[in-house]
Amino acid sequence: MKRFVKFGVVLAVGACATSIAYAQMKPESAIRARQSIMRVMALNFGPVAQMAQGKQAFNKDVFVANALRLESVWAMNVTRFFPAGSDKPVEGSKIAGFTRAKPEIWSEMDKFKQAYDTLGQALGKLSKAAKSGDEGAMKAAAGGVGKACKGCHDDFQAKQ
Amino acid sequence: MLDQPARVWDLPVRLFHWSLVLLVAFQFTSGYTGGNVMRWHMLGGYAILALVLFRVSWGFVGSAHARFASFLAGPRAALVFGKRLLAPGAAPQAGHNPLGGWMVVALLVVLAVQAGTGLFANDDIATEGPLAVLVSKAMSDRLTGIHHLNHDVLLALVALHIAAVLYHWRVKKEDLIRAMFTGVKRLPVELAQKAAAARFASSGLALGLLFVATLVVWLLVSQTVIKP
Repeated sequence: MKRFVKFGVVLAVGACATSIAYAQMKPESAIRARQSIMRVMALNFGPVAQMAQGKQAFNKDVFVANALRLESVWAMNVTRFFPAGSDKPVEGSKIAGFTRAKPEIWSEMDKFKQAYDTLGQALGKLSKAAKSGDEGAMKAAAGGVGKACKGCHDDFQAKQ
Repeated sequence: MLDQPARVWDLPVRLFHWSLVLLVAFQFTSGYTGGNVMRWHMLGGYAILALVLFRVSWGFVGSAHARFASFLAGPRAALVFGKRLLAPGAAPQAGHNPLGGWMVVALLVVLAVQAGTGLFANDDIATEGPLAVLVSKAMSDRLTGIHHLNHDVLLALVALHIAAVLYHWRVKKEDLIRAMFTGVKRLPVELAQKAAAARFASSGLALGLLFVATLVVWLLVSQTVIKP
């Protein structure tokens, strides 16, 4: 019982520490982290989308592996990497020299988090379809993911 | 002073115009939708590029009223015609009037820019144009930005074009829409007789030019000649 309580305390403190850490993360680190997450997302979604659009030969194993990776990467919750002050690029930084984060992310944080959840749900559907092995369902689910990505970008990512 | 029917628009010009209307409408909606429909958006872009190339070539060797030389006017002529348009009374023209002529050029240029930049564009997610591999990400991003900006310019031109056509129809009593379907305009006798003497180029030539235009676009985007 004592060990269980100790473990629980460590877990709770750890969770608090990590969330405090992200909230007070330096803008430079936060920008780098969230852009890295998005890049890994794009890296994994690329082949999935290409297969869904028929531009690449359909490979079930690749599709399934990527779909599952997308889900676990997204679970990192990129919305946590937007501390105050990270709306501007860091002058002279080699890792955070630009950001396309729109001010709406902070002024409409609830909507931003909702967009995050929307993609999470689409990724859940993607994984489910991938596991089912139904090629048609997998392609349709991939389309849903692309749409969710675009939806959030349209609202919260500055155009080039 | 009864008006006479006169054939002014050949079949290639009419097919070109209405195909473009359908394609551009589809491009706007598919671009907004995103997702799996982007595959069709890109095919639509290739089709528009081929049509634009065709129309430019037709503007040099096509039927009389399709040729740029027959309807492009200087700024003074355009201004004079503009005043006539605003004044009461009819202002019939056999082919494109001086202002309409510049709208043709403007639309062709803007469509070419839109389709051209689209070839290099990317959406950061999973879709990119067939030539995006040829340039740096930064350049692709810049061209994507132009693709988005130019989209607004195109929308404004389309709205202006439709407004102008409606003005001609309701205020100037010229049914330009019907004319672009049937190819026939009702014109004052002198204009109608002049139009009757105009040379029409063969549809066979048009088909040949369209084939060449399609071939050029295919070579550009199929990644058989330009390899990534």
